[in-house]
Amino acid sequence: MPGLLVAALLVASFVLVHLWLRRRPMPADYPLNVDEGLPLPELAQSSTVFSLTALFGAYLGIALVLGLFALIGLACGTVLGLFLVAYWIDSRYWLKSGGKGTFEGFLSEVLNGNETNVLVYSFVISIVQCAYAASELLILRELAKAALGLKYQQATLLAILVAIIGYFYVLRGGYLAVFRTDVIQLGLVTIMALASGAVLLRHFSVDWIGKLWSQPGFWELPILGASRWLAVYHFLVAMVMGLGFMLASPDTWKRVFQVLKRGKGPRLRALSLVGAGALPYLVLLPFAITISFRPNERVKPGFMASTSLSGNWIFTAAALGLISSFLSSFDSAMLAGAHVQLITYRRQRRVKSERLRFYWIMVAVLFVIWLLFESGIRFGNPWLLGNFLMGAYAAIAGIQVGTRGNLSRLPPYSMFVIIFVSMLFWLMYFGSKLEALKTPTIYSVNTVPMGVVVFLGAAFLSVIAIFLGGLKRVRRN
Amino acid sequence: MFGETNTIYEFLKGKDPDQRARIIAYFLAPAFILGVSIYGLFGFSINFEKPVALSELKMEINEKGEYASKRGVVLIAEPTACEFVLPLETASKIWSSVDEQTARENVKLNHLGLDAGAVFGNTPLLGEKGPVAIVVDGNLGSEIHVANSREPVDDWRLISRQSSSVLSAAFAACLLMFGMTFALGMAPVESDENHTS
Repeated sequence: MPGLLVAALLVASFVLVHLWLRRRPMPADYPLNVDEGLPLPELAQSSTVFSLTALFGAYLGIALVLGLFALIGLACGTVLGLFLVAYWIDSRYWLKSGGKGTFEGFLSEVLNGNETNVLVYSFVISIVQCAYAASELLILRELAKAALGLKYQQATLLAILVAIIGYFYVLRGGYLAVFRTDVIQLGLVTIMALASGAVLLRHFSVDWIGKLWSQPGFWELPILGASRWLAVYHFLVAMVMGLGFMLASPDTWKRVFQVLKRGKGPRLRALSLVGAGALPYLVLLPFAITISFRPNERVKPGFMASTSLSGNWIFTAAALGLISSFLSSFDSAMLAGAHVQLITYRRQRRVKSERLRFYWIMVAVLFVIWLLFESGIRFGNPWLLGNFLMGAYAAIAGIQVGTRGNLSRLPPYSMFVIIFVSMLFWLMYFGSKLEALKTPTIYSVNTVPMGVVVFLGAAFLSVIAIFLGGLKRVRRN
Repeated sequence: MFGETNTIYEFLKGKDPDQRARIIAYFLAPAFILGVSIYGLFGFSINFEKPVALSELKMEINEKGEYASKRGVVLIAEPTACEFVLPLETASKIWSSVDEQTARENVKLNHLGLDAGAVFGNTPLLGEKGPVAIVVDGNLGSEIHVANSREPVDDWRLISRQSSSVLSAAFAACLLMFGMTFALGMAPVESDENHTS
């Protein structure tokens, strides 16, 4: 029964994509230049954030050991990130285009400035998106082992099969496939979350007061110690993390662009962004308050599986939700990485039809994701790649903030220097913790505050680079 | 292998750039990844299930509800070709779903039995068309010997049918999509400058 439903979901979604494409085919020459017919971008955004990132990744870890203040910080950071992206699109492009621009126009505007800077920036964004997709694959594989009870080889094969299915969706339908299947997937993820949440609440007693506060040994303040400032510190660190993830994700830019393009009033738009940002955390709450474990233990992804997946329907809901949740974020990351590369190539050489280029880029993206996935399997900790990516997201977000979203302000070659210094710092820090991070423990969330340092450092370096570039220009004149 | 690669190369050489890109994107690239992954994980076998599934027995409960430790192993042997030796400490007897006549013939031909603290089997068992259940007392080790190689016992443990059905379903859906996307993707697309929405 669960297998039949999984097959029905995957095939029916694909057939639906095909039917939608018959009514509104992908543009023949510019396959990703699609802004019409993409429904409910807010829900798609919620679905992506809630996917494996929130439910089985760092956000759940933070919620579990750092309590309510950090969770509120994450939610506020996500909402703030969405508003900043909306402001960025509005001020940099939307107003200039007279409300008639396209997302490709906006991306071209973002990837503007010195040739080397743009190449470095687009390469880093694309590779981060591919690595994000690969880390989702690694987490899916781990969960398939723990929650669905598959063996190592079977779980690996399941991850690859679902990745290829996701690739077919994107290759065949581009944004239309991603946005429309997101709506179906969000429905299934919600059913999974509600079913699992209800089972958890029924089977576990909740220590409401205890869950408000953080456990000792996480995000400790060096000088002030466990004072009331600790809660503020946790809130701020989590806020920067949530914010950074939004600022550095091109798929978030696309969804916020769609919200702006829809042209509803500012109040409704603000409400949409708040709803899209806060919804994943509201759904996460039942998990965060019911699951408890000792921090020193190795993370067991199936910790909620034993009780909640015993029923056939709950198992089916979990299997469908897991695969849907994965497809939602995997496809978004894959498409975002490909789109950024497509625009970068366009800057270098414009051709009449980009269809051929789209195919080659998609093949390259698929291979990069696969190679990263195969490399990631060799490590014992499936969350390691995602943990490492935190630094890369922080560096990109820092550059966005430091340049105020205008890369052309940076002097030539400075992008390379900023990214090199930021990532070298992060690599050195990460390398020093690698032994401890090789096994999956909840202590890996302790790397987040250093991610905030990378974010602030990249922002500061960008400001300095702009200042020095300006000084050089003045001297030359 | 080289011959196949050469055939594919020759086939692609005759196509125009657009067709070549489509064939690679819609078929060859995902097929290569799937093929290499399956080969790396399962070898040349297309069967994702192991021919023998193990489940460890740890305790027994009597009618009074009292329980006591009792170690053993259940093996479910599929009717597919497989030779295995499973080392077990203190193994002394086998309890099986085959009848006495079938058991006698299989033991005589060394298709099933106990030898030096290990249970060995050569499936399919003679006279049995379906899966066979075998129960052996003793402590399970960490490895199983199959076709001259040693594999971790964990990879041979029994998994639930609903779990394996998810994998089979995903595999079937993926194969179906290979066909659908290839057929749809190879359909001609006419360049239309005004179509950019």
